[in-house]
Amino acid sequence: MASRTWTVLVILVGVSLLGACSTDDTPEASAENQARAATAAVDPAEEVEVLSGQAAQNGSVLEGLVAEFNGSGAGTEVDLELTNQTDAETLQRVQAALAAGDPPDLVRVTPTTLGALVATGAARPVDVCLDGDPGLRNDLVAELLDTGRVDGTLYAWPWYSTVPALFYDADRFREVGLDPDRPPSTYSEMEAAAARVAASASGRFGVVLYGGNDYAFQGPLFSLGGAMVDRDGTAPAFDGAAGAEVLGFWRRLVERELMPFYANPFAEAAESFARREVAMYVNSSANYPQVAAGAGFDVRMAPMPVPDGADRAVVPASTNGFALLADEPAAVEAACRFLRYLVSEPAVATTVRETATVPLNRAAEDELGPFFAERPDFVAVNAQQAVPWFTFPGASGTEFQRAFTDAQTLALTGRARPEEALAELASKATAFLRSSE
Amino acid sequence: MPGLATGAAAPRLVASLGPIARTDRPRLAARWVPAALTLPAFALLGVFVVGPAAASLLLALFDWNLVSGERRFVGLDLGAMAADAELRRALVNTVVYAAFTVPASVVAGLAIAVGIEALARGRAWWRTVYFLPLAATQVAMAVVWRWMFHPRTGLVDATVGGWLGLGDWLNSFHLALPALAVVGVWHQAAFCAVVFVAGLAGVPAPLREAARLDGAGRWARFRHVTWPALGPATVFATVASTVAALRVFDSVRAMTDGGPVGHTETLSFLLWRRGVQAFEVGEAAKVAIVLLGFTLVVAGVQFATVGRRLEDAGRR
Repeated sequence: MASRTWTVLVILVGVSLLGACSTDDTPEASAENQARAATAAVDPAEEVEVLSGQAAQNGSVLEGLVAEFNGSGAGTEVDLELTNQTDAETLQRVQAALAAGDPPDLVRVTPTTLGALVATGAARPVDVCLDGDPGLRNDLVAELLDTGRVDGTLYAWPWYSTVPALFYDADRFREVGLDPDRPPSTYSEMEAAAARVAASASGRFGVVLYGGNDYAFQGPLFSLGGAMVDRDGTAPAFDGAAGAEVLGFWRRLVERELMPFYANPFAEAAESFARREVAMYVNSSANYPQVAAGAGFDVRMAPMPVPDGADRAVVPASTNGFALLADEPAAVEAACRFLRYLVSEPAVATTVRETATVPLNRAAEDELGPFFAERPDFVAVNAQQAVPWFTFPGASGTEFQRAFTDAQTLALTGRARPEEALAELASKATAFLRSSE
Repeated sequence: MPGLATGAAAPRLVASLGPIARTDRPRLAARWVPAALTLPAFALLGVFVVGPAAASLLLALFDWNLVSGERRFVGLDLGAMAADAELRRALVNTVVYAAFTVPASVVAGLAIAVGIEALARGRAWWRTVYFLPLAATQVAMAVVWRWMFHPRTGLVDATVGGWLGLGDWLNSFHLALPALAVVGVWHQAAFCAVVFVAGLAGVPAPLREAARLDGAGRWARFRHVTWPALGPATVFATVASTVAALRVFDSVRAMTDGGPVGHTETLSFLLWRRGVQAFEVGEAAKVAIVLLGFTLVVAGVQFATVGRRLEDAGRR
């Protein structure tokens, strides 16, 4: 009888009991530990446990960096656990480990999941890792470092920062008479290109502009003058005319059968692009090297097309970084060693070459040499005006993304007008904002 | 001392007690040995069933953050639970899924079992074939089914979908739950077939032979001899299939993730989403209570009505 229910509950009860037995993790104790960490002697055999999801997104790059770090004789050994779980799944796993009192020292995070770790007090400030190296602090790009801050405190140590880009099948462009060297730069150009592709064969689509969260929505919203929340940050603001225009345009593409509807867009859009059923789709720029390497056709990327009538072109920047969960002084210092290595000149140069992202460390530019000069498309994508990816505060970040995907589905399938879908989403967002107060 | 047997009376008393003492020992043993033997099972039930059930009731009363350790008593607001749109939707989805899968699984399982038993040769091979869905890992099979339901290029759209004019099942608000039900029937029919094959082996051959000699045809033999004898197997297959349907999770997670817009979100999936994904253990415990209560009620009703009749028929 409902044995699965019982199993889950037994685990939860056990986990809660173990959590109750865990060590003191009050903010005061944490502050003391971190203060000690700055001056603590380091155990040369200190091991750092690092958990990273998203193996498909540059997991191999991280593995290479870890191997290089471990071989550098830094006196710290990184034990990397790399999984292909999503951000949200990785967060669930970390929360369970935290409740059991056995979290990893570092966990890979994005803006949507960082808030939950900060809200519960699990994530420790990582400013401490910069305290011992003022030179490094000066070399790091402050704007990119700021994407890991919550209320002014650095909680996510950045590894790389990525922006949305339009990935397109240059071979398909040629086949249907489009110029692959002149990808669409506006929504109307993109619609025309999508129509050309869709008309070339049945079952073929032009573009997929949406994803499984609001990452692809925020850019056109901001470009049209909209915002996710009001100036005070106390009420949602995405349900205005700008938001409705974005969803309305997407719905029109679906109605014209230029864009397919996917309930699980991340996986299905990537699969469809790989099978050449879709000629253009929005993806994170950091995925470009892997997508291009795995495709059997000419894949290129370009800046995101801008909605017609937009007075500016803005995209959200998502920073992949690491949250510090370690508490013991020696573990904190060991973790800091690895984090500092991640933004060192050689590591940043490797990351940039493998992820097509902007260098976090200015000093790495020399090491990169003519890399960007040889790839003007990388420069164009990274030159897009970017703002930090807005996420709802606290633990509601992942819940909001699910609610957003539902609203997007209702609008794209025509089950609700864009205004209605966004209004319903706004009511949920209001509750999220209130719950985090 | 009054009442104490002394002198000559004592041997008589001992003699009279002797047989009693000798027979008491086995009686005591008969009473305590089974109790001692079942004690470990009861202890395990207590630890893994009763304890967690009580704990879930307790958890449902709190807003408990397992990470920070903060907990706040919120009580069990039945009105709020009844007004919980997600919970209601999950309950309805679960019932619809069960309504799709249970009758179809039992009927298909019975048909498969009867078909196999009617074969002159190759029974063992066919039994193995139909047992395979049950032996396969459900999550892995659900992933395979997801590919088969892939829009346009998947096997389902390319064949059945084309004939019926239906497509893109997993992205459809109307077809996603039936698609999951198809997978559920495929899996559960195998279980029912195994149960019915075992049940058919217990049907007395002389009865069937007598019916045949009396001139009963195939259908009459099945209806009046085989089917009544399968009563207990039918009850078991129905109740077990119902419980499996009410707690469906694996295929939902692997194929639709509850979507589109919650149209395939079942009670088990909602429990997981709230407890594991959102880490709201109190809210998850409330769903667990609803799931447990609903399962108990459905199983109880099945036993008390059709189940009893079929079992009685089987005993005759």
